[in-house]
Amino acid sequence: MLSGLEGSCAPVINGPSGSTTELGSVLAAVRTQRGVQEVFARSVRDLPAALGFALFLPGPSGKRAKSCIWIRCRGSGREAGALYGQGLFAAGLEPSRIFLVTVRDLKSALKAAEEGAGTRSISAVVLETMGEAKELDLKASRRLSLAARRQNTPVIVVRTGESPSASAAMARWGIRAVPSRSPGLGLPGSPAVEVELLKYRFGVAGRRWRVEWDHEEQAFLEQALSGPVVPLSFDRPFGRPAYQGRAKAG
Amino acid sequence: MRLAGACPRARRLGLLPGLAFADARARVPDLDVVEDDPEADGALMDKLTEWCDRYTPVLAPDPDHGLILEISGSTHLFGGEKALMADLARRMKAAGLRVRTALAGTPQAARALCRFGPGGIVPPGEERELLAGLPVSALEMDRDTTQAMGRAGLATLADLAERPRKPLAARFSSALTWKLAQVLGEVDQPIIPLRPAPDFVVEMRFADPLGLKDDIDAALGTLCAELCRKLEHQGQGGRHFEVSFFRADGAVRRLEVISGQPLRVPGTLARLIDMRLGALADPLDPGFGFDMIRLSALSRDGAPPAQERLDGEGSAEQDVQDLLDRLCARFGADAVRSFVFTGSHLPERAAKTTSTIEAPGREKGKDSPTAKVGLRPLLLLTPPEPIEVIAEIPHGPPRRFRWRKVLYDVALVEGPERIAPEWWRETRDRLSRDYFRVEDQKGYRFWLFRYGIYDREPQSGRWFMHGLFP
Repeated sequence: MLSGLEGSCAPVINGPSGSTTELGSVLAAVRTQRGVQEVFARSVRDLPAALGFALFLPGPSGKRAKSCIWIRCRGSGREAGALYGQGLFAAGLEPSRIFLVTVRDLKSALKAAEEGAGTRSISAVVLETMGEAKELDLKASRRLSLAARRQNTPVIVVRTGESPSASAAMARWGIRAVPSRSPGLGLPGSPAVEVELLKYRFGVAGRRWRVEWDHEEQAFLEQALSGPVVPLSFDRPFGRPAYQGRAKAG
Repeated sequence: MRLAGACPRARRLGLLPGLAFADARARVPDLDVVEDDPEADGALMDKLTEWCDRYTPVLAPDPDHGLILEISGSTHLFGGEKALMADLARRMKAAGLRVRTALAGTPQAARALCRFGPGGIVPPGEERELLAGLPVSALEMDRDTTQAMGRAGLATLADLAERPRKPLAARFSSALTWKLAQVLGEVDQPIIPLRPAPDFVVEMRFADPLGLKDDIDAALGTLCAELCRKLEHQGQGGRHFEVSFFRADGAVRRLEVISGQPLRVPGTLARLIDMRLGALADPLDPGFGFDMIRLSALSRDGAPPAQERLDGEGSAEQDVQDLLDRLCARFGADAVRSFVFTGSHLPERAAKTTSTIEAPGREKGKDSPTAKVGLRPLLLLTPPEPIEVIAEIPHGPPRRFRWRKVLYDVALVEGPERIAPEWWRETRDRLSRDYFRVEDQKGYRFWLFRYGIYDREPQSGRWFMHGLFP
């Protein structure tokens, strides 16, 4: 009960100093709904971006750290790379709270996801699928979403492909990596992705945002279309107020 | 070719083991002969050993087709020693086996009585009288000693038992007097059991074998509750459980369940066992039914009673741990892993994963990377994949590279971050790596490195893809 209260009182901060971006408010709305969310990597090469988005989809877990279960099929580690502890730490997550479950096939993965979704005190169950994932049909996703709704555990399915098949997911995100905004000197900037809300059962779908991940705020900021006006210094941190102004202008 | 064994009828005809096969054939022309197969005999004995586990958990094979069961403490389950022996003999006979049984205070006395005497039960303290009539060969000393005893006129154990031991030891050997004391029940040398006796065991026997899943589940539920009560009385929690299903036709199926934490909650244990049963590649086959189910805790840890907290903090941790245990039971202990960090600066060694069963009770703070490291990729490729790179200058950043048959044009690049090999370890990995974080024109971000410093280290200039950024 206490955790429920805490969840409802938690402030929704998705932009710098309290301002809420459009994607931020949509994310906050989606987080209040129960069920399965699908994250579609538009191509195999967009998979890291999709996984990164999926990791931050459940939102900040608040004061009480919760554990996340990450399920993937054996063999996909070789293809897509294995989740890396230091990378998770560098991204601002707590690696000791993420448990990896590697199973033989998608059928077992679904079973594990259902088991995880049926447990309270789990912040999220992430199910990573490879290829077409034929077993993950309407029936399977319906089962999964019922399990997710029963205990109010977010279940996130990461899939790859251009044409999503029918599923019982309440929201479906399409993710594509886009060039980041360089802070100058030819350095890569913050990770940037194009997020498209392909389907949303409780609201308007079809919107599209170009956002970049802000490490300090742990939030997605909308990417300004124009580049920086003044080259940024690389030997000292660049000023936050100027940055915020640009974000608003865009 | 010689006879290795003979049935009672053959023995009555004078065909004893050791006789030449041609002689045996000459005496009894219509002889039924089967080739000796020690391996099959051994397999049968192993099966019987498994099966005899139903009488007592402490049992050991006794070479040459024998078994020794330590039945003190378990006779009451069968209605006394006599009833136990009768039950054993009856079941063996039903299985088509002939069995000789003997029961005595020490394993050696029982063995001598069974193999060289009439068998039966020796009441405690009466070994001397009952075993005195056995021949000296019952001591199973080597051939010379037995022959020497025969020449000295010592025919039975009574002859030896009457005499003072010290001259006997001087004349023959101290091994003889030691063996004599064992056979006569003067010293008790316990048997070395095949499997260690578990500390906590509960079992259920059924007059009518169980075949239905619901019945089996109900029985398992009762057993779990009983075992957990036993564990709780001692303030213990089990870490490693074993469930044995004894089928009515003699087959025994054992399942092991491992828990990441000391466990004594009946519901959780029952769910773990249920998950394990559900995950079996070769499902549990009741056949004609199970007539006994045993649940034992093979290893355990101290588990002080936990106080429930008002805010439910502890129970949340417990929920997660229970889930991990269930997943372990379902998919194997190796399938569920958590991150561990070692104090290494080599990326592939810095963070690894380990089974959650193997790393229980991890300390907080210790499992987080402490050293401030640069930006690291979300996904790591193991092993790094070789790529073809075009760079403007040999020690410069990449301009264009080909990975998995796709060409990427580098737009933005950061680096190098130089990571030297660990010279204090004996490895083949002896070259420094220069890591670059690059982004191509479409926005894909990679972590790649040049292996070896140009002009300073041999065989430098190879490039590898090591990680992917979101």
